[in-house]
Amino acid sequence: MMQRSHGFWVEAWRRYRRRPLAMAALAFVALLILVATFAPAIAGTKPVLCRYKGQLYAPCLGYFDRRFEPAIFTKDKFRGTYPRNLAEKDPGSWAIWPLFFQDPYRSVRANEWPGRPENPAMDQGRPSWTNPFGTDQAGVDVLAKMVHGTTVALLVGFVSMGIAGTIGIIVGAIGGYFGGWVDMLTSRLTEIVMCVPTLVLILAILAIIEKPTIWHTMAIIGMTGWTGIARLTRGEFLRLKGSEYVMAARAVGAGPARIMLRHILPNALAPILVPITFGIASAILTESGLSFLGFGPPPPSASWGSILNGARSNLGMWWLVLFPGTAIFLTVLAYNLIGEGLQEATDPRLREARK
Amino acid sequence: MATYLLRRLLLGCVTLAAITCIVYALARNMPGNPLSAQMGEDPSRKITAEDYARMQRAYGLDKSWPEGYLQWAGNLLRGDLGRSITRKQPVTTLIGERIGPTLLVSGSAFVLIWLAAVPLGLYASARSGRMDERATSLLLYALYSFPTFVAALFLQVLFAVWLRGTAWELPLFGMSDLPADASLGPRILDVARHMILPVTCQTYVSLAYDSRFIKATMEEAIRQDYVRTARAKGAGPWRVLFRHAFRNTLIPLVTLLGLSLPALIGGSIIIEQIFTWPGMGRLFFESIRERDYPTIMGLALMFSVLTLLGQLLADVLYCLVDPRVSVA
Amino acid sequence: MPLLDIRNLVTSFHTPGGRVPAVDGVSLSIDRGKTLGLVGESGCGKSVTAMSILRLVSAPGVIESGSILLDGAGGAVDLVSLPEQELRRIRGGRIGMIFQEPMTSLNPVFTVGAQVAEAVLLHKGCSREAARARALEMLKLVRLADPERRLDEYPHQLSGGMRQRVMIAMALACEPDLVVADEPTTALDVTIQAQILDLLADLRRRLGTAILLITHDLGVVAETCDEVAVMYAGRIVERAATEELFRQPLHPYTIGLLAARPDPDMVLRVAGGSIVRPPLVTIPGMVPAPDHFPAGCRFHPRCAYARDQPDADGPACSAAVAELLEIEPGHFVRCHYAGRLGEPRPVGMVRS
Repeated sequence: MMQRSHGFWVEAWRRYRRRPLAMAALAFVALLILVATFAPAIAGTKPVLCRYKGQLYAPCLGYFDRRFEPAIFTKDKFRGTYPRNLAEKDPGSWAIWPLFFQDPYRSVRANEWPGRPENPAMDQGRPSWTNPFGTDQAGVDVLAKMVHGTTVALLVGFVSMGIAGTIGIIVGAIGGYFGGWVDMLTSRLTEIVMCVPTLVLILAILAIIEKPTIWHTMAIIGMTGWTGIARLTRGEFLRLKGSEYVMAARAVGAGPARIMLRHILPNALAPILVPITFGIASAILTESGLSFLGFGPPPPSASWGSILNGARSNLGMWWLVLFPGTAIFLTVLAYNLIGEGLQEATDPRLREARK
Repeated sequence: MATYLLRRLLLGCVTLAAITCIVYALARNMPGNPLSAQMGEDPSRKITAEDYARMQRAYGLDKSWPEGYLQWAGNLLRGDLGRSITRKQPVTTLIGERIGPTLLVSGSAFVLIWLAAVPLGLYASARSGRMDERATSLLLYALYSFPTFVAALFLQVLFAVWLRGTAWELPLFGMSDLPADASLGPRILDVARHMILPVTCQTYVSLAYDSRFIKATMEEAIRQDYVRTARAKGAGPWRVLFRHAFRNTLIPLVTLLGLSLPALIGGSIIIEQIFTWPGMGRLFFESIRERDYPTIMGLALMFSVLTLLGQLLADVLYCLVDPRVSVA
Repeated sequence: MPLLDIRNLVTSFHTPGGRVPAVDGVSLSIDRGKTLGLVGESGCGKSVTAMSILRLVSAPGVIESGSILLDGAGGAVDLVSLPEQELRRIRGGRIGMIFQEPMTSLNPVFTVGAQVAEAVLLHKGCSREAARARALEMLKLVRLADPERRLDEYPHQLSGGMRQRVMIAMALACEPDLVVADEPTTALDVTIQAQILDLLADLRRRLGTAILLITHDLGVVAETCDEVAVMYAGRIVERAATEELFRQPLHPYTIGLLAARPDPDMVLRVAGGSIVRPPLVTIPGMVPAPDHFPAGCRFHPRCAYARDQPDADGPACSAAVAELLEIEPGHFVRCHYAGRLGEPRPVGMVRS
């Protein structure tokens, strides 16, 4: 068996690129990353950049964290309403506004933006020019909520699968490499976590935590979602530990940690990456499912699933289902397509058949 | 075989003990208890401090969780799953009431899934690469990525809101709108109408997954040398596909079958919650919210047993279909 | 007319990199009851030729042109253009096939008996019991030890040699006119190889079946074949009766192959009557991949006799394609300088 080298990944990427759907999925995720990064500049009511009383500020950063919002606006009692306040309190001020003037956390009032009507609330908020995706019961714009919710959707995938991948690879590698009673222990541990109903575990832990945030949700999804990765890693390590090059490494005196990290892991990585990608999709599903059931992150974190939750009590507001539902669907689909592309690009058996 | 089974069962018991212990600890450490959860819902039922303490003692809530767990485990060994605190009924009775509706939905879904997934998977592998297969596969793939709760909401919006008043209208919630004394015929029809949406939701994801799985394993099997041998013998395409390739794909399929056991009996929490279907999943969700420890424990135990049994079943079935594997 | 007559067969693979002709204009014929050996290094296209006969070439391979005529009671049929339905009656019925890998060529989930009986059922239209009885008879014929018990065993319970006997039983179950054996002994131990070859030779004598034996092993050919065709880079380069070929190889590739045999006492008589030691012990270089066939004579980069420049005798080997010509009666060679090769270049000088 040959060690997988730099060339392996180049070759895998070349094969991946030949799959138009997988490439489209990758482009979609890249787009989501862009939207998440520039969310405050895309939709918001705080200027991206403004000059106020002789100084430059970027109040939109407040969307990332309250503390980033310049203190002067609190002191000058802006109360979150920028357009009128800027003009009244400093006539010489100017501002660059987000592309789309709507707030993800509150309803926009009448004339807050000169000439704009108040956001409709309850079941009146069907899609219109001012609110392309409609508004929810409280009159908050759905598009703005979704733009800002992109961060949550992306972070959930990466953070929870980062955690799950780390735990899964460590547990699986140790069990597969050492075997014997160590394997017995890690396998039982995997089995236990697999058997505890995930939703129960998540609901219970979320209930125990005093003030659950989106980060807790991510951590818990990660801590319950590693079993599949562990099983696969264990299998790969079992298979590879008997290979010639591992024997060779052992023969020249490499220690177990070095063998596992430098010799086995790089070769086992390709098959392990596949369930991790699929795991991202299922983590997004789990998080939006939790939010949908009402166990999501508390405001101000906007999650796509929590918008759906609003539709449960009033099914007439179909726009609360259609737009966030489609967003969740497309994101999950994209990750699944990426996972499948990865699988086909790195699976040696499929490759031979294609020759 | 007997020693293997015994070993697996013993290991399973150890795993079960660990799982129930974890679930019990988690449940007991959730803020609030069954009494406070109930009172929170209904302010008129305010009780005095003495009454509260007395009830706590009566339900064993004054003990620490390790003590409580040991007591629960002891009762379990005597075959007693305890009584629900909030519903004043034995847990076994509650499960007995709920298992029927769940089986009704998940059983119908299960039958539909396998009836459709096998032909779909075979069709896809037989026509692999053609336009119609690609379109079907892409559609199945999209369905597989479509979140159940989104689909459930879409279906509710469509059938219960937009089609309200037409012949296509379907009920939104529950299992039956008719009084309990209605005659059997209309009742069956009514339950069937209520079942359509939940069953659809529970079917499509697994259908998409399973047929893709069948297609993938079939394509793997078709590449094998023995398929070429069969063709060299003069076997026709359908014979090659069904007899030679499909027989081999049964091996991974039975594993899938075994692993779907917990979902079959446990039901789906989300689907039952959305359609307020009086099944096991909904009972589980409610018991967590009500902090009804005995019910939580009974259900968690059942799910774990089913998961472990499903794995065992998968392994045993594997030995039965694959002549190369023996457990001894 | 011969039993099987392959004329100008072209089978190529359509890959993303372009069209790759793995078999490029092969002509062969086999008479009834005779054994033809098809010899060549791996990758020369001999297995693809074998697969083409029963149209078992898997995608992206396609038979592009040529004909494969199988003679029969109602005249010859062309297997290349035969409808799939009728071809199926020939597969396993009139032409049996034995594959290289007995380990993977049997279906793991069916008993040995069921797999042999299936071949009978598919062609003879008899009852299950009769098919089973025939399977047992075949297992006895291929001298499988304890055939009654083996009938109900699964392939994984059998050794490699036993499985190959089962494959042979399956191929011969319907008394075919021709058996195509694609490297039937390559995957087996040396002692088992000899047993399987003996069995094949014995069955041919008893049943009168013609055999197309595909192999890279000249020793196997010498022992079992009536006639030999040598294949190189998708083309037949030499064809002659076995004795003639071994006595007087005319193509430089065949000379090299014979010289490369691990036989220290081997002495070759090259055309012209002089007895020489083999000029090469190994053939330098590698078989070119089908997508990188050299122009002209495909062997010229590895040939010790190749001419760089055209001269009075003939063209430059890199420029012109040689035809397969009958140099002596029944002895066909594809070489511009067949019979007048001259002196080989020293080994070190051979371009690779």
